Amino acid sequence: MTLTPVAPRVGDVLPDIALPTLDGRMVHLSEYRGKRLLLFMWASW
Amino acid sequence: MWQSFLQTRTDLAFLSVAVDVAPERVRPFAAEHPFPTVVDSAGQLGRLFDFDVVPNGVFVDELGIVRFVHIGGFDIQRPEVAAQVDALLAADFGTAGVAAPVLLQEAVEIEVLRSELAARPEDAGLQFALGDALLREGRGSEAETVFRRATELDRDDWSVWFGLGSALFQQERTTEALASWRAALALDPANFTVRKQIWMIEHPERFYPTIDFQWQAEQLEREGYVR
Repeated sequence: MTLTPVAPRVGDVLPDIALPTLDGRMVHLSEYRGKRLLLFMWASW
Repeated sequence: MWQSFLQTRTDLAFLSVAVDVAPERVRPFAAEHPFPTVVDSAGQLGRLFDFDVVPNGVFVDELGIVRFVHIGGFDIQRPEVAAQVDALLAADFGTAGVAAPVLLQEAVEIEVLRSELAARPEDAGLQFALGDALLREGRGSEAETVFRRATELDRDDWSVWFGLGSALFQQERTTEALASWRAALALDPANFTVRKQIWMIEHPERFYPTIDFQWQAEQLEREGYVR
């Protein structure tokens, strides 16, 4: 396992990060394999 | 805005990622939209993609390969942004995987990370991953210990200080959290995800119920930040 914090570049495989929903369910980015995915990163501020 | 865009693009999966440290701030947005919203309180994606502003967009194809990264100003109401997403949806990326997948980080369980750390206790990246995993489970005190170790191992990395601040904030130790976030900001003064997190705690009236962008511009000047 490699955890080097190097920014993924276009052409790299997206790391399989898991993040929680507000009700505590974990969403793994790998769940979206087989689909085209748009990640939208934002903040309430 | 996103809802109407996505209604006509049903072949696009969409995941909203809020980089807030206070999940309750995210709840109104999540309640208003049918797509999933996750919370990245430790700044895991910010660390991974090395972004210091939001909003951002990352487009990933069926094979999990990153095809487009847009940092800052990713507003779907901007025609050029919508056109870019449509172009990516229509693009033929082929079916070949990458020759050597770059797997930078895996979703792993806490016990697996502890096991890895036992073998490599000096690995700050592993410490961060464990701290983040603990934070996500609401185990702020344990996360604090791990992030503190990460700051000892790699004290020049803003993200470990941000993670430590998030762990302290989760324990309602706001003053200490702010100090840690300020340490992160000192290492990366251009990092607006950190700067605004500090502002949001110190000046909540400037963010809720509406965001005062004029105040933000003035505050930047007051803090002596020059782009």
